[in-house]
Amino acid sequence: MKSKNKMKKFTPYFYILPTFIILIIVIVIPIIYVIIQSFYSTFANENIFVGFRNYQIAFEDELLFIALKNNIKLFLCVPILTVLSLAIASVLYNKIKGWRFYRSVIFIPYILAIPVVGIVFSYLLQYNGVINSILRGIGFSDLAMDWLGSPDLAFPSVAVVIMWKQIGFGVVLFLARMMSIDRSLYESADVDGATWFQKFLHITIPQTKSIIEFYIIITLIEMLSWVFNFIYVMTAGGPGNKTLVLEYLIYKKAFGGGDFNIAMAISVILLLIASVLIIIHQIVMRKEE
Amino acid sequence: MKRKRRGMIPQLLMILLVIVIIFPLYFMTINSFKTHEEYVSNMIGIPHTFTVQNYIEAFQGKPFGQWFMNSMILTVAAVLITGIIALLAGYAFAKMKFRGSRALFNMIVPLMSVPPVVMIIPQFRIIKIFGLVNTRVSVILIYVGIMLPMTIYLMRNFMKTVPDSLLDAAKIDGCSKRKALTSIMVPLTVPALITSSLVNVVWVWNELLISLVFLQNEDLRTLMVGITLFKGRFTLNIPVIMAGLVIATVPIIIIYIFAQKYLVEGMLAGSVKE
Amino acid sequence: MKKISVMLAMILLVSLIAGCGKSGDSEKSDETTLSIWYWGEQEVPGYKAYMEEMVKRYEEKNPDIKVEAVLQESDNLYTAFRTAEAASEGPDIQYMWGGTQAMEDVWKGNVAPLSDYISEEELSVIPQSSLAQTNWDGKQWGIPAYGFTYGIAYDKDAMRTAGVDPENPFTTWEEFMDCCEKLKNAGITPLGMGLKDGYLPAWIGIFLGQQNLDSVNDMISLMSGKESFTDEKYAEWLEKIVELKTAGYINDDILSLDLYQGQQLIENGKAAMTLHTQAYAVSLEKSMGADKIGFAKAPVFGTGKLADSVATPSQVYVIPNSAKHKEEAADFLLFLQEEENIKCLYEMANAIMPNNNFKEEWVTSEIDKKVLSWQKEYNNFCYQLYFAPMFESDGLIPVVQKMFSEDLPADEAGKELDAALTKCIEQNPEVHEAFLEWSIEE
Repeated sequence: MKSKNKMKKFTPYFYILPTFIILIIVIVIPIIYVIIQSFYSTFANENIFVGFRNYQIAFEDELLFIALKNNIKLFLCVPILTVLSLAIASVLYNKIKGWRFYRSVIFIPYILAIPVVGIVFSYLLQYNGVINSILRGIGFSDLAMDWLGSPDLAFPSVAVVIMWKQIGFGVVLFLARMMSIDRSLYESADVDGATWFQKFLHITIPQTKSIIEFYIIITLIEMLSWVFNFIYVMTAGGPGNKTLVLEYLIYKKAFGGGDFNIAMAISVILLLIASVLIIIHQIVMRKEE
Repeated sequence: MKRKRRGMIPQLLMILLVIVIIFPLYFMTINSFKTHEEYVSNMIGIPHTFTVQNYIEAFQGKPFGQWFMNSMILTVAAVLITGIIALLAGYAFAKMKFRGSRALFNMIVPLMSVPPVVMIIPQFRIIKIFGLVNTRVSVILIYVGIMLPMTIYLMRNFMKTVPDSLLDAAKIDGCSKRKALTSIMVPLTVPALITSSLVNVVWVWNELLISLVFLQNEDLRTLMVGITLFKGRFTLNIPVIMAGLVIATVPIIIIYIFAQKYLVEGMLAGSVKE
Repeated sequence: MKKISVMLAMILLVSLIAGCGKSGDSEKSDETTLSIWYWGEQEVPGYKAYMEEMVKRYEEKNPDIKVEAVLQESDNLYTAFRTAEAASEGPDIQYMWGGTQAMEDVWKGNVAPLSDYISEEELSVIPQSSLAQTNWDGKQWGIPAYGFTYGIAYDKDAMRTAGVDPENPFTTWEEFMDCCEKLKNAGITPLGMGLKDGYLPAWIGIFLGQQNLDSVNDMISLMSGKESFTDEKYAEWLEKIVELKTAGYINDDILSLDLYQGQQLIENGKAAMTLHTQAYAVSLEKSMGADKIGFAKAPVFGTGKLADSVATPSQVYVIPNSAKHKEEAADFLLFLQEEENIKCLYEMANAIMPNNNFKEEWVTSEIDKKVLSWQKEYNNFCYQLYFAPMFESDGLIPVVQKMFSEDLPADEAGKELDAALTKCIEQNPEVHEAFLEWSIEE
């Protein structure tokens, strides 16, 4: 009996054991390796300890700040995406005619492959591409811009494509949650004569809060750590480094003939930023509990 | 009268949104049936003469079927394994009391923000130690590791919302912890499981860098790696490129059409019962 | 729990079988598997078919060896190699772009010296000038995969329409500008180029950058930071870019096209000229006809001894440090140099192997005949081969992109190039030292 109890004490650890084995192999050891390598310099297969030299070099390089700024700009997409998805979801929630069809269509971009999206959009956005020929065709030649080639437009264009692809996920996520809200809440609000917006603010938002939080945090992380493919396929960081993001900078430094160890230092910087995000999130969550 | 107007505006906005979303797909599909000459003069119209020549050309020398199967194997295996492992861990973190529970969970969460590009070189070294270079297992293992933190996070938070009373009732009925998990928790967790699997499927399906670097064997190439070939070589003949992209897209759209019902219902199920 | 663990085990098993099935097959028998990671189809069409033919021939000759040749994507050529090499799991033979781009990996210790496996005598069929590109520290590190010559491919019909002699459109810069003006007046975009993926700036440099230099030493002084890109001698080519751009001789969508997309503009009549490799131009000559496609030397404006030089670099194969079958790899590389095989390379991919056994009588193409006569007449110099490590990706690409996207003037561009170069030297002092050693040796 006693031994069985002892066994029981360990059960939770068995449940989390596979997780920890995999995470240690796939993420923890590599991170430790990255941190160690960021303090070394490798040349002709020799590792020399250089202290903070790699970090100093990384911070002296304006590319780091260009990339950082672009990642922060991408964070601005998160509130836009959240508000848009919420708005679309609440329109669909009212079961307007054909809402099922709209929901299905809006979700499609999310399941498309990034290379497919990237290649199609580069043909649409080319200076002599489709969008510009439509604009020229209907007499708005002044609006025909070099969407991916102009320094001011390239990054916003990429951001719009990312949003185009990601919006469906938020809509479907929020809609699913809204549908589970108790109808009677709305009915009693209707009795009180509440407007659509009041209902949205006082019923919909509070009821979907936890899922909104989840959406925001996962989208923020996506904008920081998972946008590599978009840049890789659409702009390769150009023109003139205007669309450089941290991930792409690390890739370029590590594999593009640069110094691998400096890339590792930049990786650690990226990890620190991500950790800060997560810690803020944890604090917010705890306060609520 | 007023009612009618209110219904009109959302309809118009939705139709506009649908156009914005459909247009790139329309562009891709419609042009895959044109000759290159027609594409040049008629980029967005319906083709005057339908041709399937582009598809024949796009298929030439490219094992789409194999690429597709390779992507499929990786996706199914990685997402299933992730789901099962995360279910166990999420349950432990949400419903079991043990020393270090909070601390261990807090350690896992930050890992979801680690960008894959950072870890490729050390991961390759580890894979080599295991003797798994150029195998699907290596890539599946890495995918599972990268997806786990986010999946566990979602799972645990969702399970937290399941009232303890349900589980307690089961316990009184003489259910073991294991039984409580499989017969009560799993059915209730379906929405979270489906939501996270969806995110995971899309991520694995799209993943480019890891499969590009880790699978140096023509027979193991994935669909995404195959598609990037279209970026370089066939740039002159845009309809052929579009045909290639359509071939790559159709399977996932078909799966979506069939799975959609379960997807939406799944995300809804359970949460209603709360 | 039991059910779940059984399921888990089964999934693992299934994926193990799925994953190992393929790699298991090749190791069953005790034959040696030689792996080659190569590139080239993109600039010399037909190279993939040639490689497959070589593998077939070699396997016939050596039945106990199996050759696995994997064609790489441009962006992935170095990524895959460096990742694998960091774990000592690289291929047995790796393809590399010539010059600094190959030597960087030599300096970082990723490459084994070829001269340990191939004797000097065996190498003697390859011209000294080609070998020198990968010679360092008294050792030979690479062997040519193929050579090619840069030139301007042009549409002869467009020239006729514009009233320019299609056989001899220009030799000097003034004639070139005149030709562009005539094309423009005839409603044809003179130059088609694509800048988006960043390969183009180095190409422009190869055509124009060297024209005021007298020798390799000038280039080394520039790349070691002793000279400056603000000096007229080194910066004139940047002004020429601005000149072409402001005169409107370049396609207006240069920033939204990739290198290949820009080059292909001449194939669908959207531009009259483009920068190309002779191998690609010959493939066009074959498909479109010799009266349609011409090939010209870069227009001369400079006053240096290298002003009228032609660039005939070679791409190289190296044996990685971690290769498991170095002897066999060396044997395969020498096999590629055999006369019938260099003939096959020329027939299938229009690429000329820098090898004394290459026979001029094989040549049927008008363009190739012309190129061979250039090679005899002019100096061979390729600007890109002497780029300092990182200079291209961190300096040249963004700066030239800015010249088009932000109208950066030539003198500002020169200053930015200087700054980028200084940064490259500071960030990689050891690599830079090795670079200087190598380039001076030559």
